[in-house]
Amino acid sequence: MTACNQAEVLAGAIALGEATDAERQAYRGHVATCSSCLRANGGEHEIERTMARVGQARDAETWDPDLTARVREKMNGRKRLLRTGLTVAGTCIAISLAFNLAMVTGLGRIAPSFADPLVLNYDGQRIVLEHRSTAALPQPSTAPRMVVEHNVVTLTRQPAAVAAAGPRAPQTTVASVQPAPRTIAPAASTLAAAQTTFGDTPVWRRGSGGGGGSVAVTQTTTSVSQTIPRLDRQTDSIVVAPAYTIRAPEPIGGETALTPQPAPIAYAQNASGTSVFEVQIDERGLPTKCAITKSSGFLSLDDAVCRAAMKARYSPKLVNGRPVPGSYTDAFTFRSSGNGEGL
Amino acid sequence: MEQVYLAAGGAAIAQARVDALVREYQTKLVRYVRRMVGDADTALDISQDVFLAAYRTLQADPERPLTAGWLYKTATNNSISHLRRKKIVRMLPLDRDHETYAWRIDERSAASVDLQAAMNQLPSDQASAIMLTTYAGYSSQEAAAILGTTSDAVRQRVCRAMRTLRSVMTDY
Repeated sequence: MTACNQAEVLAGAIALGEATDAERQAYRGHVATCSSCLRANGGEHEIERTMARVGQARDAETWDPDLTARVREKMNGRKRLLRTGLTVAGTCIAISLAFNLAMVTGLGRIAPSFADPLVLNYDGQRIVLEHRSTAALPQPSTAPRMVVEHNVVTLTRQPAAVAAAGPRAPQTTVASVQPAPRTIAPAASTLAAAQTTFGDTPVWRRGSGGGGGSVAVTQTTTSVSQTIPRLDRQTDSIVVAPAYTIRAPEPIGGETALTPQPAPIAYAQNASGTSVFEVQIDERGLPTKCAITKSSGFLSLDDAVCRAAMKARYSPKLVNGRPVPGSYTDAFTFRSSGNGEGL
Repeated sequence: MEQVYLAAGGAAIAQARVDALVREYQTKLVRYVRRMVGDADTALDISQDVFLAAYRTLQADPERPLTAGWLYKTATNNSISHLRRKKIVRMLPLDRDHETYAWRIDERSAASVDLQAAMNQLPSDQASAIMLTTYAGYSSQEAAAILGTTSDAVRQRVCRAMRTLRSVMTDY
């Protein structure tokens, strides 16, 4: 620190009234020889006069503000904000917990689960695809049961038709229609018989009005329990189904117009399964996109189904007689059988 | 250095402690801040923020002894932050007339007016040093503790601030 800087410190001490006699003497000695410090800082008396004037300004202050109310209001507002935030957060957590509880207990189920049947609309009919897994189905109850029998179309295809034909020409399909009336009658024995046919493969159940000629259909009989809402919903849907006013698209030439030709590897693999496909059809009746909504498990079969679906032509969907883009859904069930059984 | 400490515990007493701080230090603190920033309304706002900061601190730790130096330190930092922002705003021409006469509203003496005129020319470090020692009544060592520097530095700043004060306050 230079002598002039030290003189500034001494001048500050004098201004604050903290300087000792020795410091005052040192400052006097410095300004006696340093005119610049004397000019800048002034002598001891000048410093004290300046600070006295600052003291006058301080003593002349009359402003006496009252911040008590302002600060208290802000503090209370902060507490209110905290309380409101905690309340809102608690409410959100409670709603979330209640929603999760409802979802866990099944009360608020909003989406079909794996156990629910897949319901498709086709030409005024209602097609229900359900997975016949005993684990996914509700346990049979002891309550009286109602049996709903649909018009069942059974199509038997000769073994060489699709799966095991190989280079041979496909045989004509033979359809047998079981025009069972849509009745609801208690039939416990029928229920028992139906349950024995449950397997792990998806099966088709076609609604009323289905004509012959469908390609992949399996006979089914299902049981309805009055206490199970899922099956009650099915019963309602059967009543409502014929009320459709929209004409769905269908392939020109009937369902037999779609003739999937699986690749030879399918025969080698003994491929079997059901391919559910959905074709997007524009207003001119041309297929624009095919999607496999449920795979058979074999790419060769799915590919053959989609190629056949895209090759066909369709009558477009009609809404009040006006063609609009729509979609067509159907399925093919392939069964590989060397002994000539199955589809 | 004086301490403000109430022998009571619990988070609920934070508000009572802040009330006591406000009652005891509001006048000194607001006057100090007003000299720093040159505007009465801004001084009230900054002082209020200082007490709310004290309230937040006491909410987190109700037993913490809050000193008056803590209040002055927070007020000094807030004032310097405000002056920096105002320095940017001053570059905009619309605020110039409003800022010029804002500090004259409740002045009572010529010395007070002169002091404020001189304060407006001081850098913030010199202004805080001279105000802490002359207005708040702290010694150079206490002011150094608040400002985070040495007592010699505080004395030097006071000396340099005094040069400006002398040149301005003796012109009238």
